[in-house]
Amino acid sequence: MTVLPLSSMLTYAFMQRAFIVGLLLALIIPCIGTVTVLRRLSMIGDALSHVSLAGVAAGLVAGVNPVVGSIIACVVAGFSVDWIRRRIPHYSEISIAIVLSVGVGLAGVLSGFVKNAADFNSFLFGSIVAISDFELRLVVVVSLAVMLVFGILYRQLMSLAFDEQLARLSGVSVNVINVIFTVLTALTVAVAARTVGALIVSSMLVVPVAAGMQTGRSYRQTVIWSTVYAVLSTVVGLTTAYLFGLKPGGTMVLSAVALLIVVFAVERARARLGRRKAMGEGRDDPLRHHHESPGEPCVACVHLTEDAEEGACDPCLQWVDASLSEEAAGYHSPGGHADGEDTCAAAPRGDEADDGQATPPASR
Amino acid sequence: MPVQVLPIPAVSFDAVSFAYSGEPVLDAASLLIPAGEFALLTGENGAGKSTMLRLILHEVSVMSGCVSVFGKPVSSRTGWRDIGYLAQRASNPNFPASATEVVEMNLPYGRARLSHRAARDAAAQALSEVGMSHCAGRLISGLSGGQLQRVMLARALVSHPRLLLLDEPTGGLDAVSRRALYGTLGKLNERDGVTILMVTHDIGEAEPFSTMVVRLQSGQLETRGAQRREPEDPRKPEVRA
Repeated sequence: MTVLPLSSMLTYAFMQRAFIVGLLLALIIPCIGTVTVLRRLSMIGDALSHVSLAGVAAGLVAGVNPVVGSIIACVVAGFSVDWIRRRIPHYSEISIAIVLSVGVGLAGVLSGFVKNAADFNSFLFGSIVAISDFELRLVVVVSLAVMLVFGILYRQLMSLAFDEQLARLSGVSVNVINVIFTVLTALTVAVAARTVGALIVSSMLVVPVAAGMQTGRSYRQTVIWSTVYAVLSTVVGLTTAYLFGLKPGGTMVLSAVALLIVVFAVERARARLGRRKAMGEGRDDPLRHHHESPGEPCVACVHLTEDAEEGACDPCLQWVDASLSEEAAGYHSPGGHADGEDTCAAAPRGDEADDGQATPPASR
Repeated sequence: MPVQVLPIPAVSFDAVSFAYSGEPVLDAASLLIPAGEFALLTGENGAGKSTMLRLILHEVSVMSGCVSVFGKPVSSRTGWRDIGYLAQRASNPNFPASATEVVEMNLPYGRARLSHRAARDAAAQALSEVGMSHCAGRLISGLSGGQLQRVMLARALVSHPRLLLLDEPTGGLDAVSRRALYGTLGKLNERDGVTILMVTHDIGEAEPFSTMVVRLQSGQLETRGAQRREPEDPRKPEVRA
């Protein structure tokens, strides 16, 4: 195996284009991926990328630009997934399986009519180092559109991914946002399929997000870390592919998986350290007693122990008392009830201050 | 002779009929929940209690009759921000979002959206309301069931709803967490005048905090006043079981 010098990598125009396209996709794919993964539609990229192959084959057969054929097929498939998902809401993954089957079937049949098999095969694993001017422009336009729309609809998409029903009640136009997101996903998969390959794009939608979910401590952080990992795996993948003459699409995905394994290991080590620290200090942990004596029965913190059958233990009750007193402090004026009543629903009555129990109003 | 103006009820069912696959849930049932009440909705499993909430939220449509919220039929409503909803469990408890982010999801969108700072302040206030300020920055996946329910309640409250619908919100919670949640709800009802309609099987524990009880049986709705009494101490051995 010949190893090429790293210093000359960016002097080649095809590598410059590969990096531009790769980095743009690394910025937008995790934005789409975060929402699809959190909506439990991780495999939608797989379904759309297979359908994109059918679009490519149709384009090649009809003499149309295969990327255009891929985009049309992906948009239609995206809406089909959404349509089927609404009819089988509790088994939404079925919609992906159905569309994927149609995509594979169509791609298989149509590929038999493609005269130049090499053209079709280039879409299977991508050809990021053989990007045409048209494809470069297309990637730039799609990337800018995705970034812009994702930025504008950031909260709506987060709310939609969390819970569609609650999103509707919050004032999110669920149907409109769904349509926009479906189009964005389809566009992203279609252009990414051409560059990193139809069989690889679904991994790129999921793997960096899986890594980001390990590191992120909020939704915003998850999106940011997913993007960082996607950019890292793209740079590492393209560089490695250049140095060792490997297929860039596959190398990028393998880099992403390697990064995910590293993130898993680092997060696990960090969690262990955190637990040790908590056990060492434990001052701010109201349930610390469970770390010290795990298995202690307690209904108040049943989520921490499976042996809970009896009532709440003293530390937990003290914790609840403290919480209730804290609430009461915000409601009661010093020395009496804010509205002149001597009882309230959240705070202990004067004669029950030590007891700390929530007491309903005496009369209404 | 002075004209008496009747207050607009928070929720009204006017001869509502609804059925699931031919199985009647409501049979020309009527109900009136005045504003400011803390109503419990009880009934056997499968009686259609959750369906009633879905009818109020217009997720399903009545077959006949009319469901109105604050005097307006739900079928003609466009906004739902004055109605808060809390389900039995969060549908996505492992979602990688902080408690603050979850609460912020229920703040206005579009032109009415708040600035970043105002949104943070509103979320902080709602979390403080339910005694969850100390968990504001924590991932919801790391919270206990009771803590998560309180965060979801804060999410519902951040939009300052006039009507709060709760679908068995204490399901899966221990006695202490249940009492704490009832206490918070009682305070909201008493202090802020929020009308509450809560589906529950915990009639014994919840009734002291409520003002009326609605029972759904055989497609009909029966209403009675709540029996007020001192709530039982959850720490007593007989309540723990």
